[in-house]
Amino acid sequence: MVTGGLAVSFAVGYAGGEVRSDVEITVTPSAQFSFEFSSSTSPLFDQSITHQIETIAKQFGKPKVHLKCIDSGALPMTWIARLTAAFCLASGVSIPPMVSEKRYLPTGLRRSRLYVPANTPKLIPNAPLFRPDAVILDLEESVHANRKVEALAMAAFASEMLDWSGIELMVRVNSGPQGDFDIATLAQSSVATFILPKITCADDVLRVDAILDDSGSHVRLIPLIESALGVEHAFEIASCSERITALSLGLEDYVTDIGATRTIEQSESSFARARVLNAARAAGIMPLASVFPGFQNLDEVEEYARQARNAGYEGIGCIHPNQIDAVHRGFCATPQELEKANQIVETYNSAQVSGGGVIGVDGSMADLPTYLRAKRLIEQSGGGNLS
Amino acid sequence: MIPDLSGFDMAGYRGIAQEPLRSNRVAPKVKSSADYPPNGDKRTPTILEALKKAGLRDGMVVSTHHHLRNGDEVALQLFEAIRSLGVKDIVWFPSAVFPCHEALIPYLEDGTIHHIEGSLNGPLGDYATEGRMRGLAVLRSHGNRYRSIQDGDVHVDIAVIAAPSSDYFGNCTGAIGKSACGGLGFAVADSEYADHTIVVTDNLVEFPCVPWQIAGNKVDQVVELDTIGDPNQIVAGTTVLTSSPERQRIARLAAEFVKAAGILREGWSFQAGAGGISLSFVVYVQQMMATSGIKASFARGGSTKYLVEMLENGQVGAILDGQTFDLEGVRSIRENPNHVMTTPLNSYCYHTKGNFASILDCAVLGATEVDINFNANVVTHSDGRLLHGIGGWQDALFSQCTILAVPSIRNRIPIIRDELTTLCGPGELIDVIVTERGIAINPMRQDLIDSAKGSGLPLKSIQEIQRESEILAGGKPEQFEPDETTIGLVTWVDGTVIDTIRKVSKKL
Repeated sequence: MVTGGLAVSFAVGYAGGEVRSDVEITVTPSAQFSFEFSSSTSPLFDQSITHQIETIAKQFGKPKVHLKCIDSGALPMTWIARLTAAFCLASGVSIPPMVSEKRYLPTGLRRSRLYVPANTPKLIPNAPLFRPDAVILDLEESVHANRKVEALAMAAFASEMLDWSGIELMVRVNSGPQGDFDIATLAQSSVATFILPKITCADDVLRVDAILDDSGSHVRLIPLIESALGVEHAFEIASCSERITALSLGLEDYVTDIGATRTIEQSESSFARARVLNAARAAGIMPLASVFPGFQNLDEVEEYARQARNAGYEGIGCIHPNQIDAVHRGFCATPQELEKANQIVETYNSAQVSGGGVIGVDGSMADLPTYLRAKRLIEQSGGGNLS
Repeated sequence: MIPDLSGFDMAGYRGIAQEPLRSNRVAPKVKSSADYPPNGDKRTPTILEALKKAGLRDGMVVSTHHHLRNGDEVALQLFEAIRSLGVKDIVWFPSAVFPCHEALIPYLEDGTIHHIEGSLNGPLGDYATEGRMRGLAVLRSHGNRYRSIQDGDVHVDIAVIAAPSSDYFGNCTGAIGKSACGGLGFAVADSEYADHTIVVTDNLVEFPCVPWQIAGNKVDQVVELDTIGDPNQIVAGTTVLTSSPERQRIARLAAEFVKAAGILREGWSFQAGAGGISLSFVVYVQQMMATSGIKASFARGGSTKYLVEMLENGQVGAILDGQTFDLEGVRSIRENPNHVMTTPLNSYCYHTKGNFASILDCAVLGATEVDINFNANVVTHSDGRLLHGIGGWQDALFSQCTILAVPSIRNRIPIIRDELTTLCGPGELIDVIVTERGIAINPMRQDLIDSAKGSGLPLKSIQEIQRESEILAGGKPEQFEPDETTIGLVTWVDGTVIDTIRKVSKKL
């Protein structure tokens, strides 16, 4: 976090070229507060923009700066976030904590988690339309190191100003000191879950857990294991806090860490995938597989999701909305599988009522584990956001 | 909603289907072969000499056509020649303008061109919107442009037709040559009715240029030029699908709607252009048709490689081609007898014995604004500035099911408005609005409402979509009052005026 008074000019947000739905605000020292703006929407929202700038400037005590705003159709959510970041940076203060009464009920499914760069406002408002089970506003790898503060402001206002009904809103926070700012700002927001990147041991999680406990936060945690060391400590990590709701594996970094190359067959990560999955199941939490890097060939995406499902994972990360339907198809049972699963559940339930023991379906044994697998398959296929 | 037309010698809009205002078409002048070389060689060395021979004088109406699209280099050479002759106040009557025509602004400013009668966009749109053009911009659809010539609203004195190949007699085609562009359909009306027609070409071929698209009997002179256009800007190598997930979603919802509504059935027909959403719509319906084995009887377009693929694999029986957008389209129109060049008379003209547009089962179009009664705007931005030509948009509204596939919000500006900035198409012809937030069916189409019910598609009222986009935008756009001065007239397919366009100050 930048601290101290404003000495030189700086800018937040982006303008020019192909940029849409954003506003670039250049902040320069000035004897008194003043502003100017040009907007691609002019004159249709000129009064609204003027009002918004004046209102937020007033909240910050009208700092002695001049704002030059170049608007390419930013939504009010973006204007507030950019102005807040500009005034905070100019005043040397942190982004104020976002305190929200809103609590969205997750569906319980995490088949698809759509990553959205938190500093690209154009991509955020429509993310829920693609019906992923979860949206991850990413503050970490997709955000340039110099733009962390404005991205945090964007995540905070997006969490509050958009409707996330039916979707688990996650934020991938940064690691280290910036991560602490991220967590402090969003701990009381409507964000349901923090993804904690680059977790190597339980202490990494417990430190965050303590911060959240101190603030009385409701936010749950998903540690992201992305290193050989993290894989070695997988169970210890998975079981260290009751806030942990799932364990995820980040293969891009992991594969680099072990000196391998990521392949479509995934043999290089078979150990890590098995270890993380086993640790999650042993800790009683949900195992989540890594992102699939391609989004053109949707058959490959579906196959990757199906393999993850067959291995015991309950979801994968998505880097593009196009992947979501394919992922959901991959996690759906085939009609034959679904028929058999229904048969198992029905037969098992009947046997429980009648006091019968181990039963057979289609020539195979159907015991408690078989029943539980069948039940999960039905849930993954029929609940949530099937397209 | 009839605009105030006091001071203009034009009739106001009377409804979508009224009797023609005139009972006879105009007749072009009778010409005699005695006035043309017996050996058929109509070549003149330069445009300048051709214009002199044509009797060019101040105030004449001179037409060109847009089949060379943004690669057109004829209009500039033409007006340079006109300027060098010292002729003033020409009314330029193009079938459409493109950004490359920004280079003609100096000719408007020095009085060579008096005004442009046609749809305007880009820098020329700004020029007109800011009130800098002397005459009115009269906006017409492709079908209405044809109608305006045949009904006599516009008398073309000299037509200049850019032909990618021509022989010395004037038989010409757009299907071959280094500047090949596909069909020359937009120029046909001018060749039929203009007093004088000049074909310019950069590929003079031996007589006869066969198969010709425009017959040399309609041509007075042929001028050979070094170039008529930039091939890279005339047609795209390949037309590119939209990469925007939101636009892909709109296209997919539109495709799923036509399937759910029972429009996509054996023998159906459709029109979709080369815009990002339309192109993706074609790809989605192609996949659906491949899965179900359904075949379309014909498709209208803007032909692209995607339509050509469907034609060649038997999914579409014929392409009735208004213009050709990519190299595959050009190849196909040259090689495939079922890929047919059409003229605006065939496809769109309202004052004729029926046209293809109303036969279409479905047309997928765009819009800049839609109001809550499904009326729509396609020519101006919400700030009043001229943004697009009408093209074939108004004409295609007569399809059996017209779908406007549009984002609900564009850079903060909600598309669904209480009131349009400019009315171009009446809501009674617009059946469905597909946005990324949901699908709104016109309450007048209970049949479509019934057939899409239970489909699982996100069906919403148009007011719901409006409300959602206004919440995102932070409210309704603010009212602004344009200048009193009228700078353009938007005409309906029958030539009546459906709305006026007023001057807007220059954007700072």
